[in-house]
Amino acid sequence: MQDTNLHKNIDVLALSNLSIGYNTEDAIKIIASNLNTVLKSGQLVALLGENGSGKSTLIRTLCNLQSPLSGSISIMGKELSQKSAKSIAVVLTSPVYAPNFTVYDMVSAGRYPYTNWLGKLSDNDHDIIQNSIESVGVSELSNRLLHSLSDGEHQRMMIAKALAQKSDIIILDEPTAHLDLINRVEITKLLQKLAKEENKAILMATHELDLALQMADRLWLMSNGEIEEGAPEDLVISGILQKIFAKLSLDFDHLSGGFKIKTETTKSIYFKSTLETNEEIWTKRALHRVGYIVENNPNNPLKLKYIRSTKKWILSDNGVEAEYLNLDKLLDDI
Amino acid sequence: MKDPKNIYIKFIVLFIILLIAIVGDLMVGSTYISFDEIVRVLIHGQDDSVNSFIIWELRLTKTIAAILVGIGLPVSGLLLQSLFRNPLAGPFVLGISSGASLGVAIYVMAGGASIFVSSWMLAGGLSLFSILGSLMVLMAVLAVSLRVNDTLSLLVVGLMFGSITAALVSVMQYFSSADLLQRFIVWTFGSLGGFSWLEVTILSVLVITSLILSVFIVKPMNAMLINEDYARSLGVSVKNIRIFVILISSVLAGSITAFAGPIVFIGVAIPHLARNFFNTSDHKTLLLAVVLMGSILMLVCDIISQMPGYATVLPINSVTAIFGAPVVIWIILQNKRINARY
Repeated sequence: MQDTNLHKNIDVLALSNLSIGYNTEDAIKIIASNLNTVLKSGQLVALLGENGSGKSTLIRTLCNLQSPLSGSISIMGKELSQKSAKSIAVVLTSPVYAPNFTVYDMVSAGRYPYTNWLGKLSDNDHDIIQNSIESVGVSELSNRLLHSLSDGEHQRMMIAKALAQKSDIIILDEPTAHLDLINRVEITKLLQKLAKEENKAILMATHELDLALQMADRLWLMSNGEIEEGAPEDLVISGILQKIFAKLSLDFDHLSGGFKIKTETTKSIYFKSTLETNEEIWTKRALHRVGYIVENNPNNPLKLKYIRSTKKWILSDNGVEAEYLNLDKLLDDI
Repeated sequence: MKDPKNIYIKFIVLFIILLIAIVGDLMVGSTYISFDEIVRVLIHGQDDSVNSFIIWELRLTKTIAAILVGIGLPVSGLLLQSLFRNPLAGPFVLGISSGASLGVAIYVMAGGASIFVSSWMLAGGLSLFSILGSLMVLMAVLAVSLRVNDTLSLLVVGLMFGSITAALVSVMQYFSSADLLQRFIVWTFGSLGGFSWLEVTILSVLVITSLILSVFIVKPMNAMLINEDYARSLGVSVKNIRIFVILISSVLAGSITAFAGPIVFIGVAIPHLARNFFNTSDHKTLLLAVVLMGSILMLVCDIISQMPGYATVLPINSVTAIFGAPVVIWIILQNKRINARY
């Protein structure tokens, strides 16, 4: 099998002077131009960018679903073409018809580039299909019909299809969209594992910045028709990540490595918290949410304290005190 | 994975039914001919007995014609339904059959027939005009298919072409004499009778060639079922397949309509019956399934149209619809969801 021979960190996909966009009859719409980068084996790369930044156009171009405006895409030195199906497998967002297909049928579609003119599956093909289904963990769903699958199961099946294609490269367009948190994490972990264990070069377009920062080997950040790339941490240290996401109402939290939603903080309150207990942390969050900055200045006329022994909050406004049993009521009055 | 044994058994059953239907179709007619007699005549070849004449000159051509129609229209329906991913698609949706009607209308009513002198050429002229008509619509649809990128627009365009040709036929009907109008109307009823051996030969060549060609696109058609983008990513040239499917189905629908009249129903219905019966969307299975089931249905309809004991024959078009449509409705009610079949 070709993919097991593949070593780590080999350039499998190279973009050189690539321009992408749409060529209609009366105008050429350039989405991004002069893209030069490579995708290496054994790496999970996350392609990030706002809606409309050209992520999907890039993905479609790399999958040969639309032609580049100029420049070239090469796979191990060979130009990308209709015959690249053995090298690039894709997982798209476009809806899949054929609800009469079983999971097994869909995964066997991945063997398409290898089968004879009638599409007959050999024993070897069946083995590969079976292994692909097992490695994404949906063995028990083999005979289920497509329309009975959950979104997460569906995504796993499509990844199994991509695996059955035995390609060096897997490109996925927002594979974690529509999934709940657990499935988002699991799918991303699965992709990470496939990159590491099977030395695949995996490119996934995603909106999950948190997951990308924690799990991707590299990030491709698309913005203003350019790609900024590097290890996630490097992009944070150099401030590129923050710059690109600054337009959004997000604040980067250097400590947690995640983004916080910006809130308009206009009023201040004194909240004495010495012990970082659960209650105190969540009280601060609640205050932040409704627009208060927590100050360490005891002279503030607005004061709040939490009494652990009685499990009560005491709010003091210019000396007038009130007791609260929960934050809900407190936030109403504040 | 489906049980392949199960599929083989179903095919064997269908094949046996087909043989029975063929014999049945040869037996019935204005005079009844026994099974032994049919076997004798077929084995001994043509002689000057009455039964030999009836079987060789009248019934055998009709039976073969029924089988060819039963193969051609469902195959074209199957390919078009998969291409458009639309359960309503069929040879008529692309306007191909309407084009054939237009050709025939021009021939019969607008004086095209006067070009031809001998009666043999008269019959040939009908098919020629019909094929020309369907080819004209086909070319228009093909030209559009090169420009539009999605198959759904193509479906709408096909329907529009169908409307235009149907309207032109209406205009001609309005202005033509009662005599010519009747000839045209009779053609629209559809008929399996009156095929000459020459016509049967021409139709066989066209239908069998198209059938063989469609075997070659079984694999890409299966990939197209997922969706066009995935098919492309697996290496299918979607544009070529689209042109190929339109071409094959036009030749099938055009030639059959020319010789047998616009037999509407079975092109749409048979693929549904086949998907239900085999519970699959694999074109390898479905192609053979529609061939067998289409032939059986056409033969059975032909037997019904003989009205045993009477000299008259019911128009085949009405028989296929009256007896076939309830069957399809029943099957859909059984399954509740036609969409799940794709």
